[in-house]
Amino acid sequence: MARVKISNYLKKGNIQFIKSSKKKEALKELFEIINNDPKLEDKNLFKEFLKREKIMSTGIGVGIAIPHIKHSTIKDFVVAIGISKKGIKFDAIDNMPVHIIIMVAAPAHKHSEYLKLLARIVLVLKNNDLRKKIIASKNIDEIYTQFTNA
Amino acid sequence: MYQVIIFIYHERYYENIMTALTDIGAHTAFVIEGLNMANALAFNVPIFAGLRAELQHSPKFCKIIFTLVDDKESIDELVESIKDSGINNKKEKVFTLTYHKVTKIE
Repeated sequence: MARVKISNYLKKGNIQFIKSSKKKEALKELFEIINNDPKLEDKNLFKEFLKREKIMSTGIGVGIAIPHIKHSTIKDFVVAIGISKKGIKFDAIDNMPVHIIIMVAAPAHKHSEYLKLLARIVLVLKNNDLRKKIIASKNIDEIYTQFTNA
Repeated sequence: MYQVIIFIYHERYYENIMTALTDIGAHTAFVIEGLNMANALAFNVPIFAGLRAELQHSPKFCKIIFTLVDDKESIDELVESIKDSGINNKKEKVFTLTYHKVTKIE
């Protein structure tokens, strides 16, 4: 029943600063990162993320969004992180702009691990100081370090 | 194996505790809607109806979560995850967590 570690799912190359301030375009920017990963066999899963957003925004408040999908064609977990200094209009539940997006693509058969990873991301990012440090990071290395130490 | 029972007294922290349970892999827990004794007396037992006025501003929220975890380490992890979520039970009484060892499961 051990907890998962975000650092085990994260690659430095999967972190980037988001250029767009619009939700769909920001999601697309991050999706391009995970879509290049060979663990995603089906290269047309973007619509699955949009479908999930239609159920309820994954903008969970305090500047965080965690778009996520589970799919049978995904071989293993792929995580990408996007940081926006200026913020993204994301239809978040608190109507505040989103600064940290963590996109998660998971294999359909790893349901338990999927839930644990989402929970861990939420719990780690509940820490105000950590959120501020992540958003204030000047480069990818700094962001990566914040997440690996979390 | 241990049975864990958590009583939550504040609605705004319910999500935090559910997330903490998911974090340790206890996502097959059962959540039960509760009613504290004072409210049960005031609203369900006519002779104590006079207590209602006193309870107007007292919290009515109470949820009870039952779950099983593999070992004592999982309970320690759960408490740690709850703290990670921003709950400080010493500052504000948000929940009570009890556990006991399960010796037999049918």
